[in-house]
Amino acid sequence: MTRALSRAATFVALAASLLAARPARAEAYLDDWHPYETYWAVGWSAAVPMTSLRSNFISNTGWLGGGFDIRIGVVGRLAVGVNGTWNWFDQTISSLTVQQGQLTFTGPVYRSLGAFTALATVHYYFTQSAVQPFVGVGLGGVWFSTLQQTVNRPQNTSTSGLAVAPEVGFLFNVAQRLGLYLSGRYQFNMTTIPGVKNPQWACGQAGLAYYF
Amino acid sequence: MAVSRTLGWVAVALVASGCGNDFVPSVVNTGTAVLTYQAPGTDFGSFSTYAIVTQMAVIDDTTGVPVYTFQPAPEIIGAVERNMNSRGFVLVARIDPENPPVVPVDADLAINVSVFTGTDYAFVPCDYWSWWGVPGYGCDKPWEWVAYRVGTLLVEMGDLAHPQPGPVIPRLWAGAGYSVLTPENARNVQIAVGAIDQAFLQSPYLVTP
Repeated sequence: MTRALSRAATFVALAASLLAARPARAEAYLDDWHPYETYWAVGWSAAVPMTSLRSNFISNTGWLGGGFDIRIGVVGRLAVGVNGTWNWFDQTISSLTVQQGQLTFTGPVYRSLGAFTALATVHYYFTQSAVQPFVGVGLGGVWFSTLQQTVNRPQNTSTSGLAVAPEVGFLFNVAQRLGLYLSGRYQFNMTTIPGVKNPQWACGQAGLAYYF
Repeated sequence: MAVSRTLGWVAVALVASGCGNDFVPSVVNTGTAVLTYQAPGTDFGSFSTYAIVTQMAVIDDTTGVPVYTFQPAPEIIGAVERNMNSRGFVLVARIDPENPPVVPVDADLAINVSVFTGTDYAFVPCDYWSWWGVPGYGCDKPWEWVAYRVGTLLVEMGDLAHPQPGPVIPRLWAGAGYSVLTPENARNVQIAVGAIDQAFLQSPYLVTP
């Protein structure tokens, strides 16, 4: 009985110590000693199509994607920067009826959408702790290319427009000047692709950041 | 320094892998599909009668030069007739495409049925016949040429009600069933009939009072 209690106490203490653990030498991004620190990051981006993009063009999650961020502290825990993100969606629909001018087609359809987004960004970090929650927003341009293929009839389009992308996330400071980020981003694009006005999606993003 | 080098390699890998490629599944390229064409501005309600072939033209372009033969296809031609009749059109003549009349019969619409059996991609030639027979009702109407595949069934509808100068019969409607009459497909006739039904189903405008 005593041994069991002792084992339970040890387990609780270990769990508590893990929960309370802080990286020994990890420094937060934009701490008091480095208010103008630069931030360099690359990561993976998976996007879920929303609204008419989902209902009218592609409903599959775009697991292929990635991006980079460069930020610099300007005042307090506020950083400005640039972001580039590329997302890719594709889907094969077993049977669909589509109109192409004077032609009507019913059969298997392959669709893809590639989007490259370039944004100017502003981010605010709420804390200087080991885990830094942040919010941000980006404004910039987006370039689309789409393909819709029916039998041996590919139809390619390309277009561009403005993009707005609010973001929330966490930066985990795991080592000296090194962090892992996890964020969610919603992207609203002011342009039209076939059958879709203002395509939108939500991204989950994860990656590695280095600051100095 | 080592960290920034690592980040650099990660970035390079990301960019290298980031170029999206379209891997179009074979089901899209070779699957069964139905395509229909409607000539712009056509009011099918102004037509009431039609003539149809008694045999299906078989076009083999294996040698690079199309070879035309004819074969009976009662289920396929019957499916076209069934759909036309259900849309209110009246059959007034049957035409043997091997021995067509010299002048068009008295009907509003002419319907031709053909299939491509060659092993190569084929294009419907623009060398129209005088008024009947193999595909190609002339090129005076806008027609987006499409590449046909082996086993493609083609149903064409020409306008006999408005004679054109010269040996030209404008194409008003066409339905193509891709890969529905492939030699290896044991159910090809049923698939072809299904493709014809789908062609009419997706052409609700093809109706007359």
